[in-house]
Amino acid sequence: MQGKAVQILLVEDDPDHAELIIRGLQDNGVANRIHHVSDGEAALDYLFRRGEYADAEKSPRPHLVLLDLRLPKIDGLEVLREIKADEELRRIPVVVLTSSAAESDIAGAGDNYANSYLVKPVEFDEFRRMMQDLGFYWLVWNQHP
Amino acid sequence: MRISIGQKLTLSFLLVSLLVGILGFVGFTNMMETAKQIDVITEQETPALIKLTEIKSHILEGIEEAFAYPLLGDPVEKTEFYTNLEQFDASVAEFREIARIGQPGQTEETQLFKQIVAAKEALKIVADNMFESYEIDGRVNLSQVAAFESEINIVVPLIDRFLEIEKEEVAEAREEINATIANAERQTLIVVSVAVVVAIGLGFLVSRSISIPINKLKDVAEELGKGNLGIRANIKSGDEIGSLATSFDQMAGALQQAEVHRGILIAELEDKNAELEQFTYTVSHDLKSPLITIKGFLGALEQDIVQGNTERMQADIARISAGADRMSGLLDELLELSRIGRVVGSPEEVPLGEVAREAVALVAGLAEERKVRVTVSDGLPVVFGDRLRIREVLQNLVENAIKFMGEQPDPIVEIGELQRNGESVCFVRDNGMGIDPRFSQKVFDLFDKLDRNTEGTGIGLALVKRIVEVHRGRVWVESEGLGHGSTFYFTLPSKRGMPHDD
Repeated sequence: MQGKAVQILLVEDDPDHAELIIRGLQDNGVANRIHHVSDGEAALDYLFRRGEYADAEKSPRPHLVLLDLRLPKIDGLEVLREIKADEELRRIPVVVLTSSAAESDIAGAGDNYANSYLVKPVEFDEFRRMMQDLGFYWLVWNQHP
Repeated sequence: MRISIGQKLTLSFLLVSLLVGILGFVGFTNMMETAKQIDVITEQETPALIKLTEIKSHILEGIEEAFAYPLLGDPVEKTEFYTNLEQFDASVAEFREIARIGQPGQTEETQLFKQIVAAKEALKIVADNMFESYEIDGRVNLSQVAAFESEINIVVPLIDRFLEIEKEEVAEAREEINATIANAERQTLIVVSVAVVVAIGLGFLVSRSISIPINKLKDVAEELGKGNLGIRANIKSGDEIGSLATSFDQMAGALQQAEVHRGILIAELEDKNAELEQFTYTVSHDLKSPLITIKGFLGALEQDIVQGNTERMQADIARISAGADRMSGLLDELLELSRIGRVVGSPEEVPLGEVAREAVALVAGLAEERKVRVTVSDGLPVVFGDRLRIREVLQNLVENAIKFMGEQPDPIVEIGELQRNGESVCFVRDNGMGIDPRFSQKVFDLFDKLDRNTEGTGIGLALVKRIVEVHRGRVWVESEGLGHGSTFYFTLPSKRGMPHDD
């Protein structure tokens, strides 16, 4: 099942968290390409191929989007909404990965058709385990169109 | 017209008493009238009648004796006759007094009286002649007897006539008395009826004027009790109940206002509550973040040690340390922010110009480093508030402006004041990177920052907003967009009017 170049778009504003996530995914050899953006606007530019991401070569379609909610410039839920509103983009699984366990956020993500909602664990072991399971599930088990 | 209830009652009773008085008066006058008329009968008419009867009996006796003398030849009879005539005279004289003969209005009586006296004289003369004839002739002269008899027939009817008159007068007096009594009855009836009607009417009116407003007040009070605070009694009478109603309505008005005020306070409280909830949520969320970093890189560190990757080890330790620092800084500024809401120093006059220059001095180091010029215009107003906090506002805004200069080759920060819509508005203007208009409200939200590459935890602007709002002012930012600089505007009170500590 491995062998395909799997692309992940990571939308995360905290550089430390991004580092942890990237390491977690890479160490398991699950993903080859992780593209990281730090705010909502860059995420949409990448996906819709606008601005500096106009070149399709530079911005290949990801097979998975990991989305933090609390983002500068454009909020995470807004990014989610736009992705799921687009005919092409909505096929891409979007996994919300955030520190917030608030009911309103979970409900908001569900209302906007998030494929999954994960809360970043504080314990490192759990965090690594989650990254592992995450990678395996969405990139190995899950079928992409 | 202000008539007190006491006055109304007094007037009513006075009116009724007046009517009773009139009643008494009517009775009294009629009684006096009756008494007078009775007097007439007892003092005058009745003695007159008695006297007349005396007179008649004297003359009749005399006549008897006059006839007896020639028949019996007894000289005593003759003496008796003259005695009787004398008694007759005496009685007549007395009668004259009693009947008030000769007084005006007694023409018939006076006439009659004179006739009687004259008739008696005539009778006496005839009797004298008769006696003389008898004594001379030894027998009666029949023609003289006839003359005597005719005299009798004159005198006696005259006396009878008088008796009739007197009896008539008694009857008249009696009539008058009856009439007076009937009158009295009628007047009494009228006055009593009027008095009763007036008394009932007044009683009804006065009690109505008391109980109707009182009932109205009772109803209004019930309505107020049910929560209908708009209702008013609106009783306009000029007495004590009227003034009670006025005070009552004022009370209702005050209640209504208090209710409105309460509503406002509750709304404010709900706002504060929502703000607190939001605050708590944001805080817990954003403290969790560095914690994840710290714990995460501790784990990564373990791996680095196992793998012997010293380079990564150092980088990771640095991240852990930075994370801890961030948490610490966050906590400090949180404390600062929560304190601002509760404690504001005692308000005083704050000359903005002075304070602005102090704030600029505080950030002089940073300004020089970035080669940013900061100017403070003249004529900044004097505001009212907490001097230290206001300085913090200016400091934060200037710092912010300096940090967000971007690629501007000639960076300037201006502090000034202008008039807008009749209000004095202060501003901190920069020609730096500007703000995307979509986010101009977001800048003030707690911890939100538009560009992660700059330092600081982003709490500065939230602090600014809090301070300005505690002073009951407003703060907002205007920018034409990215690359066009931005201007932060704020308003502060210019005179006393600061609220109590929130």
